[in-house]
Amino acid sequence: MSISLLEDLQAGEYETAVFLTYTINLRFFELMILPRLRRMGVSRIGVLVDQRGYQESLADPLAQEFCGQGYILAPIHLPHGGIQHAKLLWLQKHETITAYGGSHNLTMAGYNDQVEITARLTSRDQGHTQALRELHNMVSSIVPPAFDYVWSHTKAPPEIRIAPTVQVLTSYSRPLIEQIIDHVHTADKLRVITPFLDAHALQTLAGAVQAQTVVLDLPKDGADIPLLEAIDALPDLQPRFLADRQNRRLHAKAYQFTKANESWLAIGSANCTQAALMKSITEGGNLEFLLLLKDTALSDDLNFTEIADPVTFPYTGRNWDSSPLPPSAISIEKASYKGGRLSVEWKLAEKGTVSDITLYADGNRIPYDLESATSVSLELPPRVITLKTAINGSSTETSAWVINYDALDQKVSHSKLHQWVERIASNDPGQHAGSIALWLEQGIQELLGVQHEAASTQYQIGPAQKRGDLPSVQKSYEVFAYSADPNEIQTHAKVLLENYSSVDPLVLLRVLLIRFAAEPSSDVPGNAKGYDDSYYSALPHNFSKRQSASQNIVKNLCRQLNEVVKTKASSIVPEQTFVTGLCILLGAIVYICLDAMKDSGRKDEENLTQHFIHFLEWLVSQSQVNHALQNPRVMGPLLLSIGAVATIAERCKDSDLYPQLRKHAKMLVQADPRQAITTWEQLDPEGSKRFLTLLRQQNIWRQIEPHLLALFEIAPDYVRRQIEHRWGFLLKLQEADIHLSPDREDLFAQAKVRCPDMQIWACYDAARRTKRLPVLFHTSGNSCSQCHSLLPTQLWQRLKKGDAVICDSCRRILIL
Amino acid sequence: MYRRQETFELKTGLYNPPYNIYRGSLYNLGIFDTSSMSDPLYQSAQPLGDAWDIEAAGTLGEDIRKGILPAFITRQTVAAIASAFCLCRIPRGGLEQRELVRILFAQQESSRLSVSFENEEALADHSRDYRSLAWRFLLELMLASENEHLGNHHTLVYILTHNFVPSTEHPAFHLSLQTWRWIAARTFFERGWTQIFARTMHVLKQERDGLTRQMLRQQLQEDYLVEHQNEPIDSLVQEVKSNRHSSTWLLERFEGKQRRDYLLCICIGLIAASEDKRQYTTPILGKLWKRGPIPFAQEYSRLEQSIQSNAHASTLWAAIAEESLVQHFQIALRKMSSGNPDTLLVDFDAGQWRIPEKSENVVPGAANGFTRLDIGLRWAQQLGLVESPSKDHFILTEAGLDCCRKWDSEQRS
Repeated sequence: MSISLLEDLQAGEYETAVFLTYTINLRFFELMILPRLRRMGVSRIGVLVDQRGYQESLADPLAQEFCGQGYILAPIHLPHGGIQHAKLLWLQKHETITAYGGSHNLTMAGYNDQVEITARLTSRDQGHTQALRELHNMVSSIVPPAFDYVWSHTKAPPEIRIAPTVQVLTSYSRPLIEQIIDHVHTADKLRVITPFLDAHALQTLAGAVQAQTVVLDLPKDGADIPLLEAIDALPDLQPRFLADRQNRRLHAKAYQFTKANESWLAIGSANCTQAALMKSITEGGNLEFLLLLKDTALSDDLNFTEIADPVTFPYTGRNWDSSPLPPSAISIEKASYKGGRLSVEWKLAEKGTVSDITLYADGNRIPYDLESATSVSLELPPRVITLKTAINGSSTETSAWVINYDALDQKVSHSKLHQWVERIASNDPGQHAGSIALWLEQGIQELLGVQHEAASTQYQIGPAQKRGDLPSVQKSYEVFAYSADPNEIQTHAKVLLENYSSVDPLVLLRVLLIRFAAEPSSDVPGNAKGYDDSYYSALPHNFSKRQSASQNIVKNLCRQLNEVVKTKASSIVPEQTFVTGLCILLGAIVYICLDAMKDSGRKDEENLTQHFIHFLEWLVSQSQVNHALQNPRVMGPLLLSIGAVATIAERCKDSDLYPQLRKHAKMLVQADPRQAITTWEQLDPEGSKRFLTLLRQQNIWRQIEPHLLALFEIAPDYVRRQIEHRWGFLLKLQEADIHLSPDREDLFAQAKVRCPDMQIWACYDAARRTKRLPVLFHTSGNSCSQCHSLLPTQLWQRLKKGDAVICDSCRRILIL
Repeated sequence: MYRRQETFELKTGLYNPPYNIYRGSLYNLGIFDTSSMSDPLYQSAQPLGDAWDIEAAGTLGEDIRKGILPAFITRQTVAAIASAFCLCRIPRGGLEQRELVRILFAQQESSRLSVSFENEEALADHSRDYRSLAWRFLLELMLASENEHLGNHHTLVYILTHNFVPSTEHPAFHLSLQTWRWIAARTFFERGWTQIFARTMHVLKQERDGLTRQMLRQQLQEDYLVEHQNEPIDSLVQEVKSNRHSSTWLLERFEGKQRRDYLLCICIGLIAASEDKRQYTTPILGKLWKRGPIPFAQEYSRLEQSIQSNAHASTLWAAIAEESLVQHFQIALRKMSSGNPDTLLVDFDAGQWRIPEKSENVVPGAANGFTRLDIGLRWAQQLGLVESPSKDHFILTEAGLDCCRKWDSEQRS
């Protein structure tokens, strides 16, 4: 329930999004939520807001840009004057639904600043199906006609016979309190978390469930009424306040009912007030949702402290949730623009004399011919319609956002390509982590032969076009890494995906990783001051964000590897598809290890190594793999992925992981890795070059090679040369000493001067004197070739650098 | 380093070594070729590498020369050779200093200096030439301002009040001065703006439940009138016009603590930039006038409209104050949407401005006058081009004068 909606809206793929909220901050929505939705692929977006919130949005000083053009904002008119107070986010794509119900309004405070409690319902959990159906039915009964453009693209999940794990209570037809009693009956203890309070409502609720103990949790600056009012109503009340370390305001609403053998938790939008709990909307109450969960407790991450002196405890005097707007004498029922025509319909007061009706589109007067409607041809779509009139001589006016269906249709028709372009253009590492997760998920499905009717694979984006005058891939990579201009990034992303994704399945991942690693751009163009001094300059570092995103990328890769090892590769998948899928996964492992794990921790490294080892085991067990591995196009990426994981396995504290990795790698690959890579480069020069190029790293094989060779216990050539240079004389001397060559004394004299390490020389000299030669041996791994003892890490590291070391166990000199 | 550890392992092959933070700058300066695995020196930077005094690095220097590092190093050795590796201790009068100057001033390299500042891509392509111009500009500033107090806003006030680039100089040199004058004007504006924002936050903090837009404006006007008379805006503008060439008056306004000083700082920025734009008619000034999160064009128009409608200072104060909240909201959200940390200090919710609990104890600071010129000044001192006979006073050394002469002769040839 401690869900961070801003974090949650980083991943997943949906087509439709619908919000219900009491208040809204459009600028916040457009800057923080809309881009997330677009990157999730959502094309139909609508917000249902209380009338007051709708009217306030029209006078908002924070300029909005896309209302009516990128999404629909519509007011909810409840028939008996109550306010729309329910909070919901409904995300849908085909049969997949995720819904968030809780206490969060669509504002900065609701999504970021305040303590809110929100629950996630998903169509994947069959225990949530009934609740999703009820929520859908409820919203269907209140959506205004203009909202059909969005809402008609949602549908409730099909009915199932599985017992629900969560119930939805709404105030649509019955007061919430009655429904709570129906489920809970009685409770020994009642705990209420509410920022707005009505003593009578609290007393009624406690009485209705016959609670012996009532705990009331309030914000630190109190509820809207004095606490004493509640204590007068319930003298044994145990009041507490939220002592939040981050100094956040409590806006959550929750009700916990506990008795000996069971408990119920209700969370949602309803404050402990009469308007929320004790009236249905037909009785003039608010529209509220509560989600009721059995035997579920609130997490104890909120720290409430007992209120020692209720008399002096503060209260705010606010009373927001029971003050609906007075009914308006005039209203705009419809304001839409389609095919170059503006259509407006309005309703005037039934009582009183109406005169001087004037209609304005963005402040410009427009003609009308009918009494309550007009349709005029306008070249440019207006944003806002204002209706002014006089009723009984006194002037009044109302406004409405124009719904621009032409612009909305255009958004809907945007292709999958556009969604990826937007994802690439994002500056948020968290978003890139989400996009990489999505990319991986689709790639893995391809590998395993899981086909979705509506989801085409991510690397077949756009038709391949003619290649004339295209920017080079390298140039585009530079733009993704260093440009601060979102338009330039979008242009390059579009061209790259349209023209290269069909030939290079990994191009999208490479681009996402480049963007992930790119520093965010400055918001103050032309800032020549060289430092962020002004108040609006946020801290420039992006480290913690990227670190957490990096962890998410690794977590997702591990999850996908886990999915893979649990599955048997489908025998109906053609080998070419399997090979492509395998190469994509192996490429992802290589790039993520090299590019996305700079900020990751030991735990991530161990986790990934462990999952990769399981993956190698899985590869060995798949019949298709043996044949596929004969193909150098698979062997090359496989070796690179093993080498890339070796780079991180070397840093793992768990000393078992590296030998395990070596064991499984050797089971799969018997050939010399260098030869395998050379064969791949010769056989598929273009493909291997693409694979091996990452931004400024023209050939990542050079980076991986030493680690891979170390894993396969092969000394790299330069180390061999170094060993020859540093220890060749000693080998020669040993040879001469053993065979009693005539030049051995000369060689001894030269070696004594030349030996760079006195300890090694002392060891050799002692062995020579005591006639225990040979004492100098080659070894191939991190164990002594003579006594087979495991060498300490430090000695192994020195060996790899070309040093000679002395085995602690048998006192022999070892070189690689 | 642990405090008591005496010996340290010199690890190679670190995944993300700290030196990475310098890679970008070293690449841009044409010193390191970061496109290769081991970041080798560009050929043109080879003499700089050779100029480094390897002897000063003691035995470690010797090891570096051989190309093989020891496995361990002691604390004592580190302490003894630290200065050889310190970026801010370049041996005075040495070859290394001269090589650095050669690279920074792009000496002995063909220059393609033009006045096409308006084309930013072209500017990036010629970054070496403009880097050299920037250094020459800094030295010219030192040369002209001998015995003047410089540093932070004092430098900016000097630039605003002195046209110190001789008319015979390269046109790009003049353009450099014009753009620095714009930065100076912008800094005055930012100083006023940020102080008004901080004051607005203070007013809002007094109202826990928040204020509607109308109530906020009213309270802000009252807050202004606590300190000052409600004079017409035109009188503020006239005061700026008559005093804007006086260094003393400008410094007093920049350092001023009265609400009227904040408004005057905004007027100084707008009027100085507007007059320069009119006088020089350079395309870059026209572009700068219109761009940025708070464009001068928009704020100058607000000022003009206020004068035309005979508005008073308190009205302008309240209007700018609310606009500062709006801009703060927009910019903080935009930054946050790019993955930066949350820096939003105000909220607009349910028709009211309010201070969220998370920023109750935050007091936003005012913009100061520190610029890249100050950073350049410190570098110039390390390079032996500038000396400081007393605090905040600077003079060119003979090496600095020599640099100027070389640059001038190369540009004029």
